[in-house]
Formats: sequence, structure tokens, C-alpha cells
Amino acid sequence: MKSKSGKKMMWKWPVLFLAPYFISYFLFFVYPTIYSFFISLTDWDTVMGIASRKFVGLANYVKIFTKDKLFFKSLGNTFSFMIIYIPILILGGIALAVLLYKLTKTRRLFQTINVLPYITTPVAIGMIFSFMFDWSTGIVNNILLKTGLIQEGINWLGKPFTARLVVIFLIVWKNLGYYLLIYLAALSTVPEDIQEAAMVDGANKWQTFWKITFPYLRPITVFLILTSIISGFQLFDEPYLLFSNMNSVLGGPDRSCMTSMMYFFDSTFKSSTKLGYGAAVSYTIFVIILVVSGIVSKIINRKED
Amino acid sequence: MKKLKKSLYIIPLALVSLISVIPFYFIISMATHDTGEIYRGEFLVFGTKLMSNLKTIIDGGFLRYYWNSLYTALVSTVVCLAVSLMASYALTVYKFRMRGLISGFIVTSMMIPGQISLLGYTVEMRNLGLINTHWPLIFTWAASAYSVYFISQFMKSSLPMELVESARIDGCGEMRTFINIAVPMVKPAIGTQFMLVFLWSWNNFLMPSTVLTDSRKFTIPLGIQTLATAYTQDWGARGAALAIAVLPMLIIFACGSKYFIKGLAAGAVKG
Repeated sequence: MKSKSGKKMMWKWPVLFLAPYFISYFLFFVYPTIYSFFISLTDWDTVMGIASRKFVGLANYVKIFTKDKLFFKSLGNTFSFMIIYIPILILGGIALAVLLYKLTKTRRLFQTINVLPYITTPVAIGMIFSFMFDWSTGIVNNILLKTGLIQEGINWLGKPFTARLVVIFLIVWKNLGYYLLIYLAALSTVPEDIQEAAMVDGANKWQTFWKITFPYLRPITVFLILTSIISGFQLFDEPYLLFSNMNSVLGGPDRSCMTSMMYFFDSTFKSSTKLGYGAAVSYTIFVIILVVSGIVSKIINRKED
Repeated sequence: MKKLKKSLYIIPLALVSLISVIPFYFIISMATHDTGEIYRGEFLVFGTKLMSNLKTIIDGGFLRYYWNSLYTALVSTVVCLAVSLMASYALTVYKFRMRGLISGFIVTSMMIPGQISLLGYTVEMRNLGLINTHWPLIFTWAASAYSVYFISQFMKSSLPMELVESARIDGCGEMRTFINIAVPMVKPAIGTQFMLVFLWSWNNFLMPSTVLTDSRKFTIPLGIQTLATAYTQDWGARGAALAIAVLPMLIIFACGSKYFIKGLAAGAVKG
């Protein structure tokens, strides 16, 4: 009898303390996630109302893979951004961290300055960059013209190629400080005596870094690559606002900077209200994220052997 | 010789830092000029029109967005911390059969991209009649796997079990042990999570733009978006709006950078 009530006691408190978390998790994440999937099997359009909603099976998914060129274009754009900016961020982050690691006095100052872009409201960043790269009033053209590097203003946001460059520059500008910070923290876990021993044994700096230091940075690099892929597929705020000026097309010239999240958001909530189709798009993006990060982590882990 | 080498290290760092801050300088400068001056490219040095630009923005109702963002972010953060602290306490102090499984589940769920639930969540909020209220922006922070992970890691290393045991022997109830013993021991972790969740809530754009259509309910990011159409011809006013939207946060975070940087780095390095 006594042991039974003791057992009850043991269960009661952890359940009570965990309840708010799991109730919220279920109500505000699990349920809407399942509900999204259910919606994706219907032809629900907000304008038409819930009454005319019909179950259409996998028709939305079939349409995405057979007819929706714009979705694949947005997916391709997202990929092409990631393939360029992730290596820049990884290598740049490591290089800057290695440099800053040696400077003990100014470390905090440089860290703080460089993390500022990372904590700035993303929407504001998009708008700031749309001002800076504006064709007629932007500071970038202004400086380039004044220094004589160019003869006439470049229409940065008006051409697909340069618009993409601006988006990539924006992402690197925003995130480099974060990568620097993470690698700086990771460098402090590398035991210094091993590095010194390698130097004494005649290894040069380059060898010491790749053979001794880098293996310690490996797990964190894997983490950063995977989280960058996951967040890369959700890229939205900055490019969305970058092209919010007056008469720009959504996603920039020739939709060259439309990301898959932008496509999802626009077709579900803005220019059309096809909830059913939008839900199918978001599930497709989700599956692609799973597949891509699965493949990437396989590749990275195979290299390790 | 060594000094020379050090200054060589500084050059690339200084260059990157300069690029990091130039856009902020540019917004402040824009905020101090009128449209004509900006068109003539006179914004490399500060101008004198700051007050009139600020007046335009305040008359346009920008302070209201500020208030909405501020209280939504505060409530979200408090809710998130209360829920996360309780869950962390359960996972740290009690030994029960499913503990490992539940911890593992929470860590894994951190990797699931939040966008997958967005559409269903918006419709759910619509069905509950919560469109154009701030509740959806708060609820979304109630279960934050990252906060639970971060706080319980901290609790494991800084809350001695002997302290909990002796409090119980002294007749302290479970709830009081939690509030009076455990919570004070993890204050640094609370500080870090407070800053991070506040920041994420403050910056959030996608979620509010699906549930808010009434401009009186807008938060700062939505307010910034409306600027693009509201002041198409007034570049100075746009600059001023961006400046007051962005700079106070940056100053607060720069002052608290010690905790904040630690929080960002710790999550990643341990994970």
C-alpha cells in the first residue's frame, strides 16, 4: 500500500512539471502540423470558404511535381544561394576566428561589433539593403561613382545576376559574425599543448591547423552546415523586403531571388489564398529539407571514416 | 616584431567590422536628411533634419508598433521561461523511466523547421477567433525546445542534488523547492534565454504577417514593411523609422553581449 502511493508520488511531480510544455507543444505544434497535412489533401481556398472544401487526395502534390515550374525555380534559387554562401560563411568564420583568437584584449569588442548584423531585425536588413543598392539614390553606386570605379550607376536590384549577388552578400553580411562567434567558442576547446607539441615536432602552422586544430572544429562544422541548410530553406524576410520597393516584382527581376518560402507565403496568404495547395507546398519543402540534410550528413560522416 | 604581426591580424578583422557597421551608419545618416538631400547623395555626413523626420514617423503611428512589439515580446518571453524552467526541473531533478526518451525527443525536435506547422497554426488561430490579436504570437513561444535544452543543461551542472534533498527533508514542498531553490540557481541561463527569446519574438515577421491584418495591431517588423508603401517619396522618414526600429535593440544587446554571446555559442558548441 505504502509503496504504491510512493510510486504515485514519483510520477505526479514530473508529469505536472512537464505538462505545460507538452500541452503547448501538442496544441501549438503537433496539432497544426497534422492539420496542415490534412489541409494539403483538400482544395481549400480561403476565398471559397470552408463549405466548398473538397478532399482531393494527393492531387496537390501531383500538381507540384508535374506542373509547378515556379516552385522548382524558387527551390533552385534557394539551392544556388546556399551552395555559395554556406562555404563562404564556414571558411570566413574559421579564418576570422583563428585571427581573433590570438587577440585577447580586443576579442569582446570585435565579437560584439560583428554580431550586430545577426541580431538586427531581418525585415529591416532587407530594407536597408534595398536603400543601399538602390540604382539612383543608393550609397553603393554613389561611392563607386565618386571614386571613379564605374562610369554610370549599376542597376543592382534590376538584373537577375547582380540581384542574386546582393542577396548572397546580404546573407553573408548578416551571418558571418555568428559563425565567427561559434568558431571562437569552439577554438577554446582545443587543447593548446597538443598544438605546441606539433609545432615542436616540426609541423608548420598550416599542418598544425589542419591536422590538429581542425579535427576539433569538425563536429561544430557539421552542426553549422546542417543548421544552415535547414534555415536556408526558410530564407524569407530579407529577400522579401529587398524587393518590396514601389514597382519591384515579388522575388526580384525575373523572380531570380524568389525563395521557396517566399513562394509558399505568397501563394498561400498574399496573391492567392489556396490553403490546400500551400499546405502541400510546405510539406514538400519539409520533405526536401529532410532528404537534403539526410544526404549531406551521410556524405560528411562517410568522409570521416 | 610580435606587435607588427598582431596589427596584421587586426587589418582583416577591422575591415569586416567596418562592413558590419556601415549599413547602420547609413541609416542614421539617412534619418538626418530630407529626400532632396538624399537624392543629391549628401548622406556621407550627418544632416540636420532628424527632428522633422522623427515627427513624420511618430505622427504616422510608429510608436504604436513599438508598444505592440514590446509587450508581445515580453509576455512571450515570460511564458516561454516559465514553461521551460518547469520542464527543465522535471528532467533534471526527478528520475523516472521515460526521462531519457523525453530529453532525447526534445533535443531532436529542435531540428524540425517551424514552417511545417505555420499554415495549420494560422488556420487554427483563425478558428479560435484569435486573428488580429497578439495571442498567436505569444503561444508560438510556449513550447521552446531550445530553451528547455539550454536551461536543463545549465541546471544539470549548477543545481546540486544535495540542496534539493535537504530542502525536501526540511519540509519544503516540491513547488517551493522549484521556485526558491532551483530557479535562483540558474539565473545566468534565465538571463541568456530571456535575451534570445525576446530577440526572436521581436524580430519575427512571418508569423505576425499571417495572423495580423489590422495595422493598429502591427508589430515593428510589420510596421517596417508598411513603410515601404506608406512613405514612398519620403526617404528621410524611412531612414528615421528604420533607425528607431533597429538601434535601441542593438544598444541593449551590445551592453548585454556577455550573456548573449555565451548563450548563442553554448547552444551550438554543446549540440
